Amino acid sequence: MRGPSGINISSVILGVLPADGVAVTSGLRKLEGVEIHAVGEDGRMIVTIESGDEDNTSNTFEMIRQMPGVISASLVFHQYESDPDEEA
Amino acid sequence: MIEVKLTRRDFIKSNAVAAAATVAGISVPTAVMAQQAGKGDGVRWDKGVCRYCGTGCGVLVGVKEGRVVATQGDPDAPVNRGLNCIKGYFLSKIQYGKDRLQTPMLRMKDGKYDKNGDFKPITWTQAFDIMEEKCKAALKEGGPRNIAMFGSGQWTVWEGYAAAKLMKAGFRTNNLDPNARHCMASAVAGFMRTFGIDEPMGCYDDAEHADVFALWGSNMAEMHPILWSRITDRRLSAKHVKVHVLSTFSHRSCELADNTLIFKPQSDLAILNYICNHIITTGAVNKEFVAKHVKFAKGVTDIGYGLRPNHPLEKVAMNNGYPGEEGKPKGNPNNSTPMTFDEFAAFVSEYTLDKAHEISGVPKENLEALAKAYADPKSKVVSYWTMGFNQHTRGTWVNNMIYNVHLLVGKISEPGNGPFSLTGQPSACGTAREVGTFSHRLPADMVVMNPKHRELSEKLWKLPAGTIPEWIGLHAVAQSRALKDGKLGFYWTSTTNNMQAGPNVNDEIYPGWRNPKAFVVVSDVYPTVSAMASDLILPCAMWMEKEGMYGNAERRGQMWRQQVKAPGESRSDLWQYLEFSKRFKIEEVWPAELLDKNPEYKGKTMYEVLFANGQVNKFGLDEVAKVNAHGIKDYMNDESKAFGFYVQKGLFEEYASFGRGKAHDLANFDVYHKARGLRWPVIDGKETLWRFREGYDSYVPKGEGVRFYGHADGKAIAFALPYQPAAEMPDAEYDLWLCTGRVLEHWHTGSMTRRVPELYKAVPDAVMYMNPEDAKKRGLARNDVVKLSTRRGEIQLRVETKGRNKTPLGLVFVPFFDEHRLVNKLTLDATCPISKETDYKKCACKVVKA
Repeated sequence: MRGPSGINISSVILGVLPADGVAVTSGLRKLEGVEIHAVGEDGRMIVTIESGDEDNTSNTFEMIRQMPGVISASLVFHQYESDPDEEA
Repeated sequence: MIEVKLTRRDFIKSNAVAAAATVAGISVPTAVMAQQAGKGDGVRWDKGVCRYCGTGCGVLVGVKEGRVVATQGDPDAPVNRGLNCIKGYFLSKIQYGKDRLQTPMLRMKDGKYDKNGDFKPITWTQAFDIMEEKCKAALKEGGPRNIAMFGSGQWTVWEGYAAAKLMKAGFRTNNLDPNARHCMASAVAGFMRTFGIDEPMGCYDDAEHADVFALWGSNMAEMHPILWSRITDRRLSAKHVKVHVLSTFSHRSCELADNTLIFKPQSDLAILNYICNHIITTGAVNKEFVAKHVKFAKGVTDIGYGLRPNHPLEKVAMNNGYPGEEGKPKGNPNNSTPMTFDEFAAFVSEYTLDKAHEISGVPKENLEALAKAYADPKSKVVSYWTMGFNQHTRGTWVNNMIYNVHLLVGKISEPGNGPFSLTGQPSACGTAREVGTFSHRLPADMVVMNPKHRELSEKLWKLPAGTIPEWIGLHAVAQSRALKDGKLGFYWTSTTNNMQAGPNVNDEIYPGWRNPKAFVVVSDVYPTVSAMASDLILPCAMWMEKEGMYGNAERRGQMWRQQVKAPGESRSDLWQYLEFSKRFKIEEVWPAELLDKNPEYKGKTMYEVLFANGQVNKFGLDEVAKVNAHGIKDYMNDESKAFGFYVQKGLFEEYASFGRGKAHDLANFDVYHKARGLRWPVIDGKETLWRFREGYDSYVPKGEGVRFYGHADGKAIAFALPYQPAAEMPDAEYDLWLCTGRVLEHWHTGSMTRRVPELYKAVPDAVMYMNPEDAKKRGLARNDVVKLSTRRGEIQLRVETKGRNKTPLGLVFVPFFDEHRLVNKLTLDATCPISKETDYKKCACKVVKA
């Protein structure tokens, strides 16, 4: 168990060349805390990254950015809350 | 994992997805529904501006229970259209570092102030008591020249304005300078010399219209990532578009480049003259444009390097402006004499392709490809630059010289064509430049040396004639030297970290601050190295804890409302200046003969004369709620509450009266609280996208087409200036160039970004980037700890031979964000003699294994 923690939830828009779509999708699925929510016709993807206090959203982001086939990665939204479902 | 009900976690995630979907224009029906349902989740959203660089991205700020909990790129912001860079992404965390300063702290021993004591918490009353005592003692001992303030391009517009008024009118000293001196003073001097008016003529919309982009000493991919994404989009969507990147080492922006030019430090001067020569000799000059809109001048050349007068390089410089042996100034580095186009052509004719190649080390085909791009009448070119140009002992020249190129071909002041100086701080333009917090400036490009400008300022401030001193105050580097020389008794810095960001910390800044003759006050939000080296620390409100306005690099002014309270006893800079001004009777700071001209001010406090003057206190508290009702119901901000009037509006409207009708028109205060920023001049509610061009800029008379109206004759000046070597170059002992700079994840000295866990973990320590061959020659392996030294000192850090920056043989690069590896202990305080901006990019160093 980790100590008292919060969560970071972030969303990212990825530019992906359509030919690399399958490879990128399977690469993303291997990353912890990463979910694919939508894929546009032009190959762009909407992805969320979820991480705890001890993890590192920016490391995950960097891993995604450097994946072969990812030509751009743009950050959009970030929210941090200490244990959201404890409070709710 | 089985989850049936919609948890708060899912809910936040849906919001995140919906935000991304809106920006990308991809439809995600379920997420959008969740976001709509989410309007009742207790998070209040309002528009804001990013706290970091000069790009000026719009962010939406989410507040819950008095705390900023979320941010997202503002989809309605024209600058960034919903996107964030990694720093902006984690903005919600910058206010909440664990070591946030929350109470004033004074160095004390036995219950009293002692320069060698330890920091102890005190009250604001005690803090102002000791400041008042020290300031009054300094004034008594040395007059207004014995006190100084060092401010910031991160000040809000009204903070900078209040500081300028306090110092220049109240204390009657021009010893006020911003840290922006270190980042874009050369750009200012370049604009003023060539165009007679400051700031870029174009705007970010150029990015969608250009055919060619040229980056000069700018790593936009890391330092201006959102603008870079606009350039990337243009490059990928229009196949003919080409990107040229010029730098002294290879970096991330080079990944997109069609033409990368790695040149020897300082040789940009030769390359720019070669391009002019190419344009002239290939018949590519836009003769009609040049005949109508350009004149030529030859600048003086033996201008020195901004070093102390006893430095050998200054002794031989006959135009450095320093006092010579008989006490008279030795010339003026800013002087020039008119010349003809033919004389200009002859001047640049020696800069042939061969010579440019020889000086710069860049392959001829790369140089030629760049020159042809500028010369081709069919291609639209935007040039961007940042610190590679500005932090340069010939920084003013190199700014002038890029204008030469654009002027010769007439590629300026129209969509997709133009030279564009980028800025590194959020209000370097809006506050430092436009408000005029430099030691020679007044609002709206006016200067203290001009009697008419002083007279106009005194009238607008309702002050007697002769209040504002005519002498140029101490600039940033001169302030550090004066402290060391015991010529400053009271020194106040705010929203800046000069003990880390200033040059030559070892020989100049640290001995200056610790000089027993000086009392040093630091206003800041975290215990920076500057705070820890001061005598008194004042805790500040930051970013969303106060109402603010910033002005970005494309002349866009943007406002935000106070969203949350500052922690503990922290107070905004604005509150600090106004409150401190109450401590002085006007008789204590003005001589009797000045006060006799305006006897009704007798017996009043400086606060009453400067701020409760019937103008600044014109707008009542009812206005605060009224102006902002569309954003936050029953809104109030802490400064207005404390002083009993709408402080920000009063200061803004008084300030705006300087520029209206003088090509610096700002809109009315209330408008900015509704708009996503407006680019000045704003005329009849309409912003100006391209200045000096008829049809876009209403200051250009009908029928003229183009007018560079900053100069009375409507012409821009092309300056003939030579290549000259740097102040300090590698030699047998110090055999490498040391170049310093930034990284994507950290902003400047890292006082905010190092407290965001994600950013800190991503790039925890500064490393020294070195060419693998240079490392091998010294028996170094990647990650070895090395001793990096210059004539001024040494630091230890790890060597990096791979990664994002690839340096050529003979050059190392070290970022300055890391307070544990203070590279500015080593840098040389040589400046451009015209702009007084330090060259952080070039000095000589050596590296050995630690």
